[in-house]
Amino acid sequence: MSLLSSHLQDWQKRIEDHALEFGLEFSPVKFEVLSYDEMQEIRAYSGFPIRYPHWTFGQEFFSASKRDEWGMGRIYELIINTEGPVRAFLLEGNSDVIQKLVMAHCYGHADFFYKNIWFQNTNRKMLNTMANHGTIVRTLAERHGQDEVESFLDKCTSLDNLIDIATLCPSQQKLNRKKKTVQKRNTQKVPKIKANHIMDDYLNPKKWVEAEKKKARKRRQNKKFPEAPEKNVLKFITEHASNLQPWQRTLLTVIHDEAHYFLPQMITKIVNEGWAVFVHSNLMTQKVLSPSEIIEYAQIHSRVVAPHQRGLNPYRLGWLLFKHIKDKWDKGRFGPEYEQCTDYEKREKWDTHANLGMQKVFEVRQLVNDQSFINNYFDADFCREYDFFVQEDDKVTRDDYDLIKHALVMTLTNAGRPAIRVDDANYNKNGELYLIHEHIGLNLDEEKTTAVLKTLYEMWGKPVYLQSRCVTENRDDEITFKCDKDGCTK
Amino acid sequence: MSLHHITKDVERFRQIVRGKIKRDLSKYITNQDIIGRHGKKFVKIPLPHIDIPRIRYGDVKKVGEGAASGQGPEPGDQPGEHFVEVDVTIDELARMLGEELELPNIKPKGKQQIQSTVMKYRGISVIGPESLRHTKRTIKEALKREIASGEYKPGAPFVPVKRDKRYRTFKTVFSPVSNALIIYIMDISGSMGDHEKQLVRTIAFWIDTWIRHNYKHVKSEYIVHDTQAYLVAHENFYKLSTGGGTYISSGFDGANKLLEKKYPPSMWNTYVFYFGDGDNWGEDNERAPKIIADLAQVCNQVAYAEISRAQGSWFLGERSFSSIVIKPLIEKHDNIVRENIESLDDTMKVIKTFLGGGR
Repeated sequence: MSLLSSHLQDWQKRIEDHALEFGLEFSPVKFEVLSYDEMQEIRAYSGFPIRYPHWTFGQEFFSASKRDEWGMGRIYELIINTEGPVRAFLLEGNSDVIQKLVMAHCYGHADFFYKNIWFQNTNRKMLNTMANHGTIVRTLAERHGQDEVESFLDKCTSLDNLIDIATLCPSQQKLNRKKKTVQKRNTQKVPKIKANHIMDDYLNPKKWVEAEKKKARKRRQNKKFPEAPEKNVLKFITEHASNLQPWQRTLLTVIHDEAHYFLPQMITKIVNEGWAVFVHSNLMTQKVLSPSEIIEYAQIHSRVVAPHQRGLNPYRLGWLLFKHIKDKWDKGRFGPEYEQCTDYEKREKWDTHANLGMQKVFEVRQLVNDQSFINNYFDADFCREYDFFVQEDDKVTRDDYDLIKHALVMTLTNAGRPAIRVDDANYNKNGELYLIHEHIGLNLDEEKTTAVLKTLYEMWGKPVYLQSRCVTENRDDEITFKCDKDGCTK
Repeated sequence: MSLHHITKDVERFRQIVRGKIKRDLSKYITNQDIIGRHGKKFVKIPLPHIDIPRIRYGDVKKVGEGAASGQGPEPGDQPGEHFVEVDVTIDELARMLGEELELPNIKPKGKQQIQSTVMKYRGISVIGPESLRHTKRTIKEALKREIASGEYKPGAPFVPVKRDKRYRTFKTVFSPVSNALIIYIMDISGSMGDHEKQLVRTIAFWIDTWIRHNYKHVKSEYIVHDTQAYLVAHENFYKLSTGGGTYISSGFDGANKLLEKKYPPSMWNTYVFYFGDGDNWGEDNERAPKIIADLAQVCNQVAYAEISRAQGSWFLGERSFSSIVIKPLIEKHDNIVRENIESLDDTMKVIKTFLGGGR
């Protein structure tokens, strides 16, 4: 691992200046050069120099190096969302053109981390946090046994997608705080009248106080717990499950905090990469490249944005969509007049010279996540231009814009995860746990689901239920999974 | 920034993987791609990505762009279900096999008079290649010469001439080593087809590997027979087929003659493995017992494998060679074993019986 050569340092300064001119905003970025092995290790650790000890990182490292052996997925860039400074890594031995492209690309990311609303509340001191987590896990392993800690971490990891996206959004956080204070007020016990000790017996007679206390107790018992459905199942379990040792709660918290940290990146993959490509292609072609470098740049760039064999390439999709938005807003192809125009020729020739494209893309990169990006800007023109399709088993459907967009938005909803919430933690008045899956059209993987429910049952200590649906072509049934000491049933 | 923390995690991952391979060993042993590789060489075993289960969707609706891939979302597209290939050596697999089946290490029957020649570089000679020059002795000789001729000046460098030069040479030393001889006998009359041969090949491969794991020096001989026995090379063992009738005793007799001619029992630990379908000419059943008994006297073990075409009823039935001839022999000789093979799934079972005796 080494710092940039003075040659590359020069280039970093120049690219940074271009980035600022372009209108990007970011915290200072520090680049380091890594050898191939170092890059693989850092990549397995998701960009951090060290993580808590676990075999999953070993597997990631191992599979990634196998993939690279076969020439797939050679990475050029890695950047992490930290502050003081933002850290980015270059691969040793890459040509100048590649390094410059990567630097420009990383400034796009740095700007995204800085400006996009979904990142506003991330823990930018994550380097420290990760190191702490490592220490915590190692200490616990020494105290309670390596195998015990490892297998418990396996269980925690299986719950790491049961968190709530809404907690990322700043406005939502304010709302949550309000909810909590309201809840607190309702649980206040007896509505006594304020009095000094002489008047107290008169204003608040003992009998009445006793009766009120009884009423309050009953209120508490009959009150639903949690009062409102809790979407952060992982946090709920950590705080309220009874079958957990303190050290286990600590581990759950570690997993939760890390999942929470990575969540914004998971829900903005397309926008973030698309934005970084948009930035690097602008900076490189307008400012950075010398004529002799153009061909090499074109080769690399086209590889980055090449369509994938299966599924979508987020770099490509994001970049094309940004270009599409810029084009539309430059030509004034937005607003009710354009939307309602059905004359094909008129639409093709539409150009009001509004030139609002650049302004619009900057606005977009600040406000959207993948789901809203697609929802708001993936229009029929775009879909047609790039020939998108939906594939289910063997059936391929093209030319059905609504179907395609719907499928795409659905896979992006809730970061592609089933939305599970805690509905009742006192089910059957027996402290059993009742969860509900909000079905949006895709069925659950039953095998994996029951495996996780088993874990939840072990932690909760009492039977656990999950209500869902099973939707096929002909039927739509409500199904409920149940997990208790006799195993899991449906 | 510190490095190589990941090696611990990778090690732990490898450990888990090995555990998984061991648990599913029977699947891997019958994998035909492995059969035929050699000891230190690596084989690639496809392992599913070890999955931590999460609540996720079971349905897959993929959105793509441009030309469709032409196939449905393959199982490999699901998150966490792609395969990774792990490199394992045949030796490691053999060891796992041994542990899994609890195969005792073979105790060679005191036949350690076998001498194997080893070269030890303990000698000195006046001629030899430069790579073997003995510098110290050469300089010593040079020193001796200079002192003798009065040329020696303390502190001045001296140069060895041709007759000073000394070189290392080897002496041939005999060292006792355990030797094993494996004789594979196979019935190649009409009833043994490709499927049967594939079974033999798979089992023979693991037998070979395990025995080589236990002995430093292993030799294999191959005998095929119909009504007569023929000694063949390894390449031809699975290729030959004749159309005639069958005298099972001829195969064993061939083994007897081979041992007499080339492999005195005092020098070799011999293991015989017979593969056939138990279909024998009636009159031959009279001859067979003595021939096989004679063989068993001079071998560590004689193993009989009968590949049944029907549902194993033939093997246990009254009329199979196994019941008529082998079973009574087993009662008299404790180093004869038999097993029935119906399919590749029986591989583990056969290996356990044939190699589990510790002989």
